[in-house]
Amino acid sequence: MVRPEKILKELSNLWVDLGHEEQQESDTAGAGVLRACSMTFVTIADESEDPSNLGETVAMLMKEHPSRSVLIRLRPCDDQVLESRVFAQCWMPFGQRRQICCEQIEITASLASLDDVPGVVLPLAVADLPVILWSRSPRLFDMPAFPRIAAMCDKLILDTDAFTSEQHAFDLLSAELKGERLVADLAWSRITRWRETVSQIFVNEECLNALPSFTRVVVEYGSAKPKPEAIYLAAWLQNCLSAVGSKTHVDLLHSEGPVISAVTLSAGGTCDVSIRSAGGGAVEVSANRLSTKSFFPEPSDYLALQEELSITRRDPAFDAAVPVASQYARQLQ
Amino acid sequence: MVNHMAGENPFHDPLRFERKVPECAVVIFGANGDLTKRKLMPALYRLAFERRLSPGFAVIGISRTPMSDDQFREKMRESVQKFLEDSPFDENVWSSFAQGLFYMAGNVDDAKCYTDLKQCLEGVEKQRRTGGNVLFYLSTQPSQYGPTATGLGVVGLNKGDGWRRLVVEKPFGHDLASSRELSTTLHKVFVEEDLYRIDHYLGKETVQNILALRFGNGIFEPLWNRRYISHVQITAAESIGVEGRGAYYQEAGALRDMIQNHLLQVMATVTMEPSASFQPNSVRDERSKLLRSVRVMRPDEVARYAVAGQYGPARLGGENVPGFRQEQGVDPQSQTDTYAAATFFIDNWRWAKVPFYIRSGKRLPKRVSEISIQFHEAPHAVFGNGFAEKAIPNLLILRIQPEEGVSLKFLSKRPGTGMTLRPVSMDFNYGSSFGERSPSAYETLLLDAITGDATLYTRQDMVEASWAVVEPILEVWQTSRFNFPNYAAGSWGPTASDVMLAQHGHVWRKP
Ligand SMILES: NC(=O)c1ccc[n+]([C@@H]2O[C@H](COP(=O)([O-])OP(=O)(O)OC[C@H]3O[C@@H](n4cnc5c(N)ncnc54)[C@H](OP(=O)(O)O)[C@@H]3O)[C@@H](O)[C@H]2O)c1
Repeated sequence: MVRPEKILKELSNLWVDLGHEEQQESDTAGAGVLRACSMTFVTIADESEDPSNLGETVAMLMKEHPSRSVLIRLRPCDDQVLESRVFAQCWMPFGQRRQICCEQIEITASLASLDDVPGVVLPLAVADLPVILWSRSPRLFDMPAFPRIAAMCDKLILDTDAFTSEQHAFDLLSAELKGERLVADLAWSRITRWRETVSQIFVNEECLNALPSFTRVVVEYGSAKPKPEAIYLAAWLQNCLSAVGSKTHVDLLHSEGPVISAVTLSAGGTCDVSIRSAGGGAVEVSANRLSTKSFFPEPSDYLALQEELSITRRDPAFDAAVPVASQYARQLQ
Repeated sequence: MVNHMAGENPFHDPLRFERKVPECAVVIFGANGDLTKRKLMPALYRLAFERRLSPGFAVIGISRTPMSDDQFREKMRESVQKFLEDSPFDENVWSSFAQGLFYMAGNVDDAKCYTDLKQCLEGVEKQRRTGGNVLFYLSTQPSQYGPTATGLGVVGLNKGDGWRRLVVEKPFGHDLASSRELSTTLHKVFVEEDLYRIDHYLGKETVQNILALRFGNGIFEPLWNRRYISHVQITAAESIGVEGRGAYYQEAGALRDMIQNHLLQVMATVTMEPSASFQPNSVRDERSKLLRSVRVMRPDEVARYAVAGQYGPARLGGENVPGFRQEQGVDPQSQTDTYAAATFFIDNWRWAKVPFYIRSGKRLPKRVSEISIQFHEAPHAVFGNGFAEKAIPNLLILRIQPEEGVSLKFLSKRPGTGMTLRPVSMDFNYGSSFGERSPSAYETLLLDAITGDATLYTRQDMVEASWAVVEPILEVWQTSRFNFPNYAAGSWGPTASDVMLAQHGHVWRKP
């Protein structure tokens, strides 16, 4: 049985212990542990997932988004299981003399006990700060307990890449977007660098003026069928072109390479733009006969989450991309 | 569907992308110098690393030493590797960035330099597509600022297809008259809106955070006035000496080098009225208005409200540390202030009669910059005196460096029986609360200049207002003979400085 008061008491003891340890170890006055918190960050994952990978991602995020972290691990069994443990994640920021620590609570819940989870997590949320829920398990969305679990958060983060059916994922997102809650998709965050690079090209006035004359716009993807990232990119480009009155349709084409291998916009010679993956994180950007090389960081959950946790309001570009992406997914089926 | 205005980039996403950065060429005069190596190039590289620069970006470095583009690139690469702070050096990013680096040997005193530059810029513009936008950066000696701007004007480089802006490093003159003279020369070539006078203190993340703390929160502003605040202390202390720059420093001194520009700007940030918006001129108008409200001392008040100091030799950490007069290149009879402290008053309703104590010095016990806001004591000591004989006032400390953050000191009950109070500190540390790397002041300021945001740059009226405040002190000091040295290296400055505060019943905080 898990009692939130007991967890909170354990947390409080943890801080007292940490304070004592620090005082004994440090010889400089004024040193000690510093407690930081800007949100409650709840992660739900299947128990089969490697906890060390997940722990590392959460620990890295703590540095920029200090939070009380609650990790809920789903155990696929019919017994009633609900267990908890509490620990602190501490690190010494480079060049500083004081440790910074964040609280972590791990709860293991069997599918049969899922209904009890909100009752445990809600009292654990830090008062007055947002609750962010990162659901790594696509199964969760189809469970009867999901609405109650989702109801406790201010922002829900999922990853359409983890779903077997893109169509199902986009439908789910479209439904979520109708509500008040903030919703994010890590597949969308992973294309920010591509979008930003396109945008940078159109800072140039010559390219911007040529925008209505682009007759062919293509997103090339390397996977067997387009992944949500490629679909989103096409959907977003489509929206941006429509916003300036262009009727050009954005095509998705298969080619060799990574999830997104290239974006090309051509205006039949007057202005041609291409951003092409060149391997090893490098992308070749060419616009208006000028070529440069740029580098995209290796996509990771950490980078995508880092971006999402910084966004605390609705994202109009994402909201507009989801229904168009959903249409693309339907046509591709 | 998102609607777009004609001429706007429909792809821009302000929520996720960093600022839109236009294509441009940055021309650095004095590219062979210290500032370029230590600050400018690492900042530009870092902007490239973060993909903040447009693909159409180029740098043209100019100094007298002959060098090829490749030699310049190699030299800059070494500097960036050496001086890049808390950030990795990425070979791939560098090689892409370095393609946009060019060098031109030229002497700014020679008219040919400008015709050559015009030609060079045309070539670079074609090759890199910089869109005709040019940011000229004067990183030469101050005496060359005027002639360089004039030279640019003669060949018409101050105007072109795109925008043209001029960044000027401090010092902006050495007194009010020379700052006006410099300004008149610059204004003949560039309008004030295109002049960016850089004050790297204002680019520091924590100085900007002062505005966030004051105007983003509702709890501080109601207390931010003479009713609740007893006095304010602004300290910028350095533990090092002049480090081989003795000859330069001898001409400047602490009052000119730190207080006239950086610390008066910091004081204005702490005390200005809220601006209606965060538009560049709106914030600068308020800063300027504040600086114009600072009471100008009469010559007979200088001895009471300002203190000059110079460090003498001492033994520190088992080593003999030379005094200022023993430093290389310094006159053994030098009268230069390596320490300056002053009491300022702001003549407006909010701050009437509140003393603002500002001090800055070299060879003080530690490197620290902070603003300490001291509140009035509680009107009546209900709990007796507790910890000390005197009631202890609340302090709000805004730390600028080295550990940026905010602390609030207040009294709390000591655990146990009896009502004994002791001071405790509630700390907020930007660096450790957010592990994110803060951009360096030069990164922020260069990006601002490229995007045309002058909020953090100093306008001529601000420069003149701060010279007007400092000049009476300088004039009196110039005609005085000080009995220097008057503080030992490693101490908190001359005793006269403590006396200056004691006359109001205050003492310097030891940060
Ligand atoms: N260093 C800092 O941290 C710092 C901080 C704040 C403000 N500043 C200000 O920034 C400016 C530059 O500082 P700095 O430390 O870089 O100075 P610096 O080390 O003296 O560099 C100036 C460079 O200008 C070049 N130069 C000199 N005369 C020239 C001429 N006639 N024509 C063309 N180039 C010439 C020199 O290179 P060649 O010999 O190759 O010509 C020299 O390396 C100064 O005004 C200083 O007050 C510097």
